[in-house]
Amino acid sequence: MRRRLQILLCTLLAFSLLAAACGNSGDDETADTTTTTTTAAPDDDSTTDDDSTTDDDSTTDTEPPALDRDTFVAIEGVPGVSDEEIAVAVLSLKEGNILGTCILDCYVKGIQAYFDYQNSLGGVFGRDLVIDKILDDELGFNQPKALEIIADGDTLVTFGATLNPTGYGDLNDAGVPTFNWGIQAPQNNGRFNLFPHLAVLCGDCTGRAVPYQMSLKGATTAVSLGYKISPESQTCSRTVGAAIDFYGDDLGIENAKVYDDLDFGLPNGIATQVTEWKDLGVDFVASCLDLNAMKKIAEELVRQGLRDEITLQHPNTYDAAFVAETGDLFDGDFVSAQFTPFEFTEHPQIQLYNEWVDKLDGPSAEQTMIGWMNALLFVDGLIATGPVFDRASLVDTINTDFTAHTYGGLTLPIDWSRQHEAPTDDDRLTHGAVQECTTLVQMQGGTFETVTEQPWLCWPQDDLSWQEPVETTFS
Amino acid sequence: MILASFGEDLIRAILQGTPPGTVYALIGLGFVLTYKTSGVFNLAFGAQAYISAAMFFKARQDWEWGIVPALILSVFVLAPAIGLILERLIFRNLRTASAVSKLVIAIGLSVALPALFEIVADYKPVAGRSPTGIVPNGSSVFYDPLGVYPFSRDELAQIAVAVLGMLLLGAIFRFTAAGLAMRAVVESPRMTELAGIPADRISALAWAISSMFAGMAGVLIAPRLPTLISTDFFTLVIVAMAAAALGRLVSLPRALIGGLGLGWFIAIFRTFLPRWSDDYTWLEPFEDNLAPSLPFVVLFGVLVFWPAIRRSIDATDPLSGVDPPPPALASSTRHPLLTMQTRAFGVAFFLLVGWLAFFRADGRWVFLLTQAVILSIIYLSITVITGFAGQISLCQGAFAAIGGFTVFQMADRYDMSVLLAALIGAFIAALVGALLSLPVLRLGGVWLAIATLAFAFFFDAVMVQASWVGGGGTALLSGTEVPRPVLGPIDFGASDRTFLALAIVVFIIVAIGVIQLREGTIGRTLRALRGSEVAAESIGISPARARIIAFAVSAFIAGLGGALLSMQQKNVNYSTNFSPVAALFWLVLVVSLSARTVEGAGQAGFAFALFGPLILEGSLLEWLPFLNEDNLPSFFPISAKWRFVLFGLTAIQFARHPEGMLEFGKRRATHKRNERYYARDAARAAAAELAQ
Repeated sequence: MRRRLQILLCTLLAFSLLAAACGNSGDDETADTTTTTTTAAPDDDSTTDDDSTTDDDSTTDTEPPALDRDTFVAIEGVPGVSDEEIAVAVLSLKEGNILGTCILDCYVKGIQAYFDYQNSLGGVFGRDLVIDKILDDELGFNQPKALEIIADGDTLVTFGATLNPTGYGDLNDAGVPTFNWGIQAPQNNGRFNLFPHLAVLCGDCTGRAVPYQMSLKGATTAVSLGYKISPESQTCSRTVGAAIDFYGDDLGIENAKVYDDLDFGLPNGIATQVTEWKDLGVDFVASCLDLNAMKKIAEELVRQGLRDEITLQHPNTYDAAFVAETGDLFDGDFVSAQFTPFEFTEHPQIQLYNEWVDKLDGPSAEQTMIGWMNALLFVDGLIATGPVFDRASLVDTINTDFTAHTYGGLTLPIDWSRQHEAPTDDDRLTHGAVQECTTLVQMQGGTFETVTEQPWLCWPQDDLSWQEPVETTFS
Repeated sequence: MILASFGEDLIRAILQGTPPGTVYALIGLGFVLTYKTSGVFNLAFGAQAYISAAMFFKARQDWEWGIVPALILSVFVLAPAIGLILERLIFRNLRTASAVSKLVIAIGLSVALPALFEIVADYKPVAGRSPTGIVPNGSSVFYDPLGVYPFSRDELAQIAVAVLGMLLLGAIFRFTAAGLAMRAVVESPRMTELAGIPADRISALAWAISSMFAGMAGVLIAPRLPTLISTDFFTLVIVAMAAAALGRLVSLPRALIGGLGLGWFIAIFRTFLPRWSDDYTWLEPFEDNLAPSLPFVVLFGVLVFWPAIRRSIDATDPLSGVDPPPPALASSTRHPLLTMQTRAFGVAFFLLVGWLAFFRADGRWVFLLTQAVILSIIYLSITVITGFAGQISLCQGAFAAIGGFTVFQMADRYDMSVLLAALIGAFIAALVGALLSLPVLRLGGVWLAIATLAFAFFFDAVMVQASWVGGGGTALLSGTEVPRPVLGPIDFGASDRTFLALAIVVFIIVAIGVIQLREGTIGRTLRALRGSEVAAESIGISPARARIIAFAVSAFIAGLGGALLSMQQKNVNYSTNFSPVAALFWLVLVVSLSARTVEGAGQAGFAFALFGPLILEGSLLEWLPFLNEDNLPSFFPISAKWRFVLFGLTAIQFARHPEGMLEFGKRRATHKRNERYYARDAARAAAAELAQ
């Protein structure tokens, strides 16, 4: 026994000494990490230029040069590209989706609809756009599936929409352009081959959207809610609370309390907190929770007789099927869509979207639009790259030339030469959008209704003092 | 005035805690009912409840059935049918098995049943489609007799069924012959049969009743959930364990009161603590950190500090006698020639796999193989604690996460070598393991398992959220990134293959250590304790010391494996890799295959990482010369849910073959081969003798 113990201890000691004497991979080459991704990081001075560009005309879109799209040039050695087609992969989530929302199917539908539209125009550079591979990461297998895409090497780009994108780092490192549902800042931050649909977002920037919603409703006292288990949700609730207080004097509003410790799914209900809101005189709830939790909160408000007195602000409830199921439970509540809301039916891009999604005879959900947007950026990038393209040139083109891309007017302008890194509350402009913009729709009778004439409400980022938003459209 | 306000707040808190408390009570009653009638701590209760709830929901929503026919189908037909099938196919053969064996099987079923139901019934949760209850307008009509807090019709139905169920079941147990017979069958089926009672029929009846109760509980609980998802039921089951613990798994009234008490306690805590912490700031950390973990803290506290739990004894058949010592490993009884052949085959196999891995495999397969090797290291921690010490630990994921987070923190804050950080992480995990073992020393069997599960959920709810563990704000922007090590001239970050080599080396070192442990004094001590704790104590063995060592060593290995897994994935990826539910799956896998051998851990690691890609996705078939990706049979890829179904159901074999299915198969094959070789030896010896 003693001898065995001695051997074990000696082995451990030797291993410790060896371990202590060694270092970590990448210690000496931190600066090289991003340069190995086949895409050069944007130049620092591009920031100034881009600011002036978007300042001049924030509605400018970087449209691809239309004359190039029909030119066919034979290319060899580019993954997923043959003379007939350009193949892409989709990595998304179906089995094991803890939210029960439509992710993979809806996302694929959006991509397919946009590809159908483009193929109806003759494809791109004489080739049809094809979804060659659809992989379900089952919530826990994103990284191996991403590696499968890399290893197969038979698709040009990847489209990603999942809740746990552990493989994005590998896709980025392998130089695979990945257009994705960009709700996860950590997985997208500083990765120049990844294109989250809203660029990389700031997690802790105090914004004006929620204070504005309060003022619109004439509300004075808010609480903000976040999940303890999610750093994003927790930080969001603190940030929203801080924003309400920041503009408190201007608007006569205050944040009474931040609940950043809620259990995911509210398994113990929310009755005691709602009672506390009654005592605090709360008339507005700013939330950083999922749609299922919002339903639970609304039901508890009904029970305690507060539903008519408290307005809920929903960050993730832009789901027509979900809201239809809830009937009038959410009447009067606000929802912010991540893109020009579907309700602006006169918007050209929404019309185009509806036309092609309807042809696929399927539901139109938030994920469908995300898929459409991701596909749109890909195709715009491809066309702008020109008939001789590969992964690196595609990424390079988007990161260099697309300094105010709006997905055909579906979002505020994104400057891909700057917005691959997360802005901070102290410095919103270096890596952030020129304007702070939000959309706003209201729920009524299980449907969404527009609140504004134009889809977007915007404030300048370089002047944080309170001012009324400017209604804008990016079409 | 203040007192009046306090009184009203208290009453309101109690009323607000009653609906969730009733849910816990229903589940607690279910636990007690199943344990009393079958001797099983039924962790699959949530799965059974979910199936009935989903069936009811599907019948109501999709088929537009009325409440009564939907209820009859889901609760009075499907639920007892499931109970009867489980009893006939699984638990009838396990009446005399240990409570721990039954617990492992229940864990397996909790994994398998929901997935199986969803496949068979083609049920998919849809966000926002809330289940309806058994009362018309159950969630929209409220009653507020006290004018303080209203109850919905659904909640009143829950409360009524919980109370009536407790009374009815209590009456059945106390006053009916069937109730007495059910208890008798649990205590000793053999003695019951000797008394002329048909144990099989009584057992079947017990399972039908308890399953029906689970079904009813599921249908009643479902309207509380915004979306009907099986994981929500599992979470509720974990929370409600405290209620069952308060009932010591035998008292229905105590389980009812325990469930309600838990709901009330949480509501009172959440009502008053925020106010008090406004005045007394030292209470703020408690408010911030304790609130999310309250159910698990209560459960852990009940288990550790309530003497009645420590005194409770698992239901065992007095006629079943003393458990025999575990059978010798197949490898130790092999004929020398067979040993040689096995080793030659092993070497050839690993050379082939090694050649494929290092020279032919692409990045995906190298990743999966590396993951398999590292998971095998983590699973060796289960080999130590469960295979050698005979203890069920359900917090190996937390130990592994400690290793991962330590590497992340040390590298992020101090730029420390990750290999050194991995060792530090393993030592911290060992320390936590040893400390955890102290309060649970006196717990045995099922209770120890539940205490470790409570710790796992506490770690998940509180520790992971702490910035000095999970990263907090740092993780918000950059995640929990972990670099790979550099050892002299070898940069393990430069190539996945070199990292695979490192993982293999670490696995070999750990495996040798585990074998040394098994063959050494500690291993023998643990074996002695596993056979008979009293007998072991009589010869001077300290059970406490042995258990602490077992926990510490097991946690060390898990921590080391967790650190390596984080390095491999370059990120801790806590929720993917180390969540309490994932760790439950690990245990099921390891004990189903073989918990006592290094090979078992290895096979479990490879099964976890490679079963999906090789079998379910059809990659194995793709490698056949006449098949490829394009002409695979159309049913590929097979639904990932089958992974849970198949692995979950393999746990059923655990009670019959506690040594694991692979070890059992190995022993049978060894036995046959041995017979042949020894017969040949004898024939040769006889021939030689004749020749002389």
